[in-house]
Amino acid sequence: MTDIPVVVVDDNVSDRYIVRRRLAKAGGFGEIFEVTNGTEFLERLTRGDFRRDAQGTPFLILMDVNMPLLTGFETILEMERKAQAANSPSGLVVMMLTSSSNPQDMAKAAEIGSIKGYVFKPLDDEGVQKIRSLYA
Amino acid sequence: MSLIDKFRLAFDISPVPMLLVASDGSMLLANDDFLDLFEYTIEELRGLNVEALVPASIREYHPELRSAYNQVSTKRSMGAGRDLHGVTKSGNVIPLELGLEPVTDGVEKMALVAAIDISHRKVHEDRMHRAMDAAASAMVMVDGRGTIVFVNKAASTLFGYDEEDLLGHKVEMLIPEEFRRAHPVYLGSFMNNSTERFMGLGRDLFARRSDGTRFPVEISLTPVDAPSGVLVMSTIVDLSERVAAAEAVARKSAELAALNVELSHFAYSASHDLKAPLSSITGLLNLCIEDLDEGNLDEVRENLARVIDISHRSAKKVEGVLQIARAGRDGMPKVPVLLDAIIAEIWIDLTGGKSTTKLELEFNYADPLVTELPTLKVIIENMLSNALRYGDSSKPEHVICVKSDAVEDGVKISVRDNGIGISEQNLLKVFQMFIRLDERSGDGLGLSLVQKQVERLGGEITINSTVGQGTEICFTLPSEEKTHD
Repeated sequence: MTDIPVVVVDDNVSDRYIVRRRLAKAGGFGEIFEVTNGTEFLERLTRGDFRRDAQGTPFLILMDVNMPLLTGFETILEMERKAQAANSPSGLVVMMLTSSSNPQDMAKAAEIGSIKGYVFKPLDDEGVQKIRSLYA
Repeated sequence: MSLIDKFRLAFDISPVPMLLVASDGSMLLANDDFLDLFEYTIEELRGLNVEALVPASIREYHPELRSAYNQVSTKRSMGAGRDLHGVTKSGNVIPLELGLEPVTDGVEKMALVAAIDISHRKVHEDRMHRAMDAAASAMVMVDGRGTIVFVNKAASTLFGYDEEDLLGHKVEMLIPEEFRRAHPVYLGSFMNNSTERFMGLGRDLFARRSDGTRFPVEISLTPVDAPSGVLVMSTIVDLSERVAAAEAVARKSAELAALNVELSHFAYSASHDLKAPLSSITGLLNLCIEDLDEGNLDEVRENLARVIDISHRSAKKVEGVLQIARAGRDGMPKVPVLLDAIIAEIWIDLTGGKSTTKLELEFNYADPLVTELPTLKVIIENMLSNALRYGDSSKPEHVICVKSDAVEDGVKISVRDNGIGISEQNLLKVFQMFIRLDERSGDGLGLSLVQKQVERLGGEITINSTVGQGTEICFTLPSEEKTHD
């Protein structure tokens, strides 16, 4: 299996650091991009930064739920809107990153098609397994 | 047949006690019912003057009344509207209704008197009065022209008058001045269309006490048929207590709303300021353990420092939230506080003493503020921290100005900055919970909390802003006397 490219979208520097180190230790992950907010993510997405990589593996997006200005859910919904307008699927695998198990959030995630799952902070081996199973 | 003989025939068949009186007061003729009523025989009566039948209190000027009547003799009920009495042989005073008719035999002027014993009616009226006096509600009865004809004890007490100061007067005396002129119109229309109903549906009604003070009332009207015409009985309920209770409920609701915000704040904070940092701390410490095993001591040191920093900031945030929650629940003692000392303290806290932002102070309100110190600190801290956060880097200098001014019954404090300002659509949302306007915002609850706290202290908060120019937030605090507990 080829390395999975990752974009982690999180406003908290420690949380991004933890994800980066965990994925590095787990192995099987390629380049890890860090983005600090939803708006920046959407801009870079439109610019074409997160197309499928050379091997055709879709990017993994780890999206923090709780962010100022544009929340994680709002970012995904905007992404889906843009994809629909352009009539091309985004081709990304999105997982929500969160420290809370708020049932309202989980229900929201279930409603959004692009979201393939939930990973709890801090990212641990169980979380990594969840990710891998999406790519299996 | 003489006139007297004719009358004698008529008297004998009349069901009503009747008397024939000469112009000098001597009694000429009486029927059996009259004699029985006054307990005289006809011979005894003939020897007396009519003044003997009149109560001692008016005996003196009754002759005058008689001669006045003789001058202008018309058929009428005597003393209409007044309580009339007669005195029997045994000295009993009986309540009477009297009818008078002038008669003449061509030579002499005489008066025909019909006397009806209204004791039963009196007893009945008294019984009714006593029943109405026993009623808890105030009752006022008026005639078609608005003259008060009856009040019960409750009404006297409610309005602060003695019964005699009300009877015979116009009901408008019980109405505040500005409503007086219109009242007769309303009364007239009620008389035209008199059905039992509430007065002034849809209007706020007020009544006026003897001391001039006014109070809110609810009035129900009932038409009453009386021999003299249609009367209006009004039942008056003092709504002061109800209004005060409603206001108390409204105040409690506001307090509860404020507490609700604080509870939400705390719940949000528990999740955001506790759980999230804890997950970061866990993640970092796990990495530390692994790094220790691998001998990456530099990483360990750095991450442990991060852990400490996150813990500190977290604890501070939660403590702040707890303080506010405690204030909302327990209230706090109000003490005199000096605004400049508080601002200096908060400024150091926020900037560590190193900030290029210029702080200008202008205190036009000289007296110390009497208020809850920790609550005021939170309010000021929130406002200063917002002003600090939203500086406009394109401007040569970032300036924050804090001003205090005296206003009607209180003080107004404003914090103005020349930062980036807030757009019109965001301005509307700025007091809403959980709205963070950009990545510089904190938990998005600051201003909603500030608003609730200001309102709890009895003040008001307003915000003005122009994008690119700056923002000004003002709040008022009432002075000591006005605060409610």
